[in-house]
Amino acid sequence: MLSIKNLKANIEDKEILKGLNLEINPGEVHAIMGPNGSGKSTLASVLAGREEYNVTDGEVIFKGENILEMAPEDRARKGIFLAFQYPIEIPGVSNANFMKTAVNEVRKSKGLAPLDSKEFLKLMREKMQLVQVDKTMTQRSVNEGFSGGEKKRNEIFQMAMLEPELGVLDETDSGLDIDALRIVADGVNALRDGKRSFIVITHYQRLLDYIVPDFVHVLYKGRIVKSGTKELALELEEKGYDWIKEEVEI
Amino acid sequence: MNTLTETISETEQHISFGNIASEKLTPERKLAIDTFNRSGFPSLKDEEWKYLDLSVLKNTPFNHQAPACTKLSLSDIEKYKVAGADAITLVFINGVYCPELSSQNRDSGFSIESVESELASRWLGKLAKADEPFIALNTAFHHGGLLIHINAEQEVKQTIHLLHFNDSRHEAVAAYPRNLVVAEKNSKVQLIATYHSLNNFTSLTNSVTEFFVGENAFVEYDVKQDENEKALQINYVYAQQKRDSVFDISTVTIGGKMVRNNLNIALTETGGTAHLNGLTVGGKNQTVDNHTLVDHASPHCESFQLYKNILDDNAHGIFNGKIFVRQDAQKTNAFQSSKNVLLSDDAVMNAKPQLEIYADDVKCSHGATTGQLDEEALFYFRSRGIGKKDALALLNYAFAGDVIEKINNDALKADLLKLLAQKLNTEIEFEI
Ligand SMILES: Nc1ncnc2c1ncn2[C@@H]1O[C@H](COP(=O)(O)OP(=O)(O)OP(=O)(O)O)[C@@H](O)[C@H]1O
Ligand SMILES: [Mg+2]
Repeated sequence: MLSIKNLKANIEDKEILKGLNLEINPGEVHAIMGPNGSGKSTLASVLAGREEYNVTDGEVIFKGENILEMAPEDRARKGIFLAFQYPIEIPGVSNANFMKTAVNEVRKSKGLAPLDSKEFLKLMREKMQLVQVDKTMTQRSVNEGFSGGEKKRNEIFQMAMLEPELGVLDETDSGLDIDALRIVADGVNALRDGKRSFIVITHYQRLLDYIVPDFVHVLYKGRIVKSGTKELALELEEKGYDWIKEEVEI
Repeated sequence: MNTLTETISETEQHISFGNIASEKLTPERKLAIDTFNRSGFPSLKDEEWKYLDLSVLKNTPFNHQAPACTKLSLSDIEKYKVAGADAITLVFINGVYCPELSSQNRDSGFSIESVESELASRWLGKLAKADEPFIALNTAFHHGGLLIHINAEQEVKQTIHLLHFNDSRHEAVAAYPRNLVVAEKNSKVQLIATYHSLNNFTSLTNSVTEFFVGENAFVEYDVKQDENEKALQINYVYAQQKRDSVFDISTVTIGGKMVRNNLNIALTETGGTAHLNGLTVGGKNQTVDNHTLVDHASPHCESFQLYKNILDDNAHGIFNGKIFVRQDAQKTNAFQSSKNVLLSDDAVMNAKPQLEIYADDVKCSHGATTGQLDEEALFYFRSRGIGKKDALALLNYAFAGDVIEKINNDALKADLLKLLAQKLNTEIEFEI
């Protein structure tokens, strides 16, 4: 479903991604770990279509189509969802209004009729339950005054609403307390249906106890330098990154 | 036809004044003409007018006495009413009240009569003085405006909608709406004024409205300016507030080539409250200038100002807000905020807040910010599948929302949101 080949990307003439390869099949969960500044969020941003990043080489094929020339909204409509590492606050737009617009835009792109208020509320209630988002949160402005954990939960709520085919979670676990971590993980697991795939970016093996990945990759200096199964995460937790850095430098 | 400058001098030479012979002119009108001839138009050198280019206004040959009420039918004006509003509509064409196009069944709490009536003379021109050049012009040329008189102890349940048209389809027309609202003690009323133009030619609407807000009276006045790209508008609103009264005004400016609003609020007795809100959404070749003056002349009064501009293309926004706190006006609360967003590199905003405080026990604050579009927020919206244009519209709507929110009339709010969506070029339905 997603095939990244030799992806190179710059920001402000600084090369961050330096030839990255990754293959993801339907239904798979891939965890990406790696030291700070190695390019994990950059990868997520490039997939979502953030315009500040300049792709200089390589290709990203999603559902058979190179998406690199596509606008962010078209990628989202095609089924890519990014849960942001730092979700932004947007005063003046209620979460509910925002989601209604988004859901209906995605539906429109698929040739589906927009949901009316009643249908929308029903869908929203169902998904709110999934990640235990309460009503006041949907009535408030998008992320405005939300705690760090609430913002992250709101990202997963939005993902549940939009039902993407590929969810990219950028450090959704950081800032979550133990209970919230479990809630978010349960939410993600509920969305695992054998077809939907996930890229889970994290620093902590703990999350992967809840969202069990099929593969674990280490991203370092803009490349995937090591891949393995979930045991790799345990090994990293124990030994840190030095041994991998050493392997790479040789 | 003549340019404004020529007409004024002709009038002075006793040539003609529409169909009124000059010897029939009232002393007030003659005086206004004299005053104007001495001052002339404001120039860019004038501090209060320094950002506004009036050359089109000065050089266009206008007809000042254009035929009014006969040119439009009831069905023509229907679509300009505020949908769903329980309103009494008073229609003005080229500044002239047109009873046959206006609502017939009226709420009993108020009466209307000519602004030139004996009764109206008690108030007319008491606030709007001819030493302002455009007020001088309005005083010289206005005809057919109304005094709206709200009786003491009365709450007018229906909204009074003053529906203004400038009909410049066949020639360039200068219209001089001149209205007067007197809300007596303990009365309550909500008025809406909407300005529209029917233009093939350049139009000028030079409007003056004076409000006398009695003791403990409540007046809300919401203005929608939706003229077209050939329309010039100069608009003066004066309010004088008595003890414990409330005067709230919201001005939403969407259309018009050049709009200049002047708000002058005088809090003359203790306990008065005024809210001044403004929203401008400016696009190609539009200039919108909001000048406010709140005069705190008595203790224990409050004023709140919130002005926002969304400027795209080469739009030019101007805000000049003055808070004047006199020596006796202790315990004054006066706040002012000007927030602006520029959507294009060619858009310009000049914001100038001014505080003049002569009392020592007061709470006053002002602030002005002008920013660019929030690219991060835009990306966030787009990453959820909302197209760029709609995302932009939603963000602008969010920015504008708190001004529209202040209007106490759901039908008008909905009407404005629709207009906003249109102006922002989106089909997304806004909700409050
Ligand atoms: N706007 C920018 N301008 C310049 N450099 C940038 C910019 N954004 C990111 N970078 C740099 O790109 C590199 C990769 O950043 P990125 O955010 O992708 O790292 P990360 O792997 O997500 O790190 P973390 O684990 O801390 O979240 C870093 O060195 C960062 O400083
Ligand atoms: Mg990161």
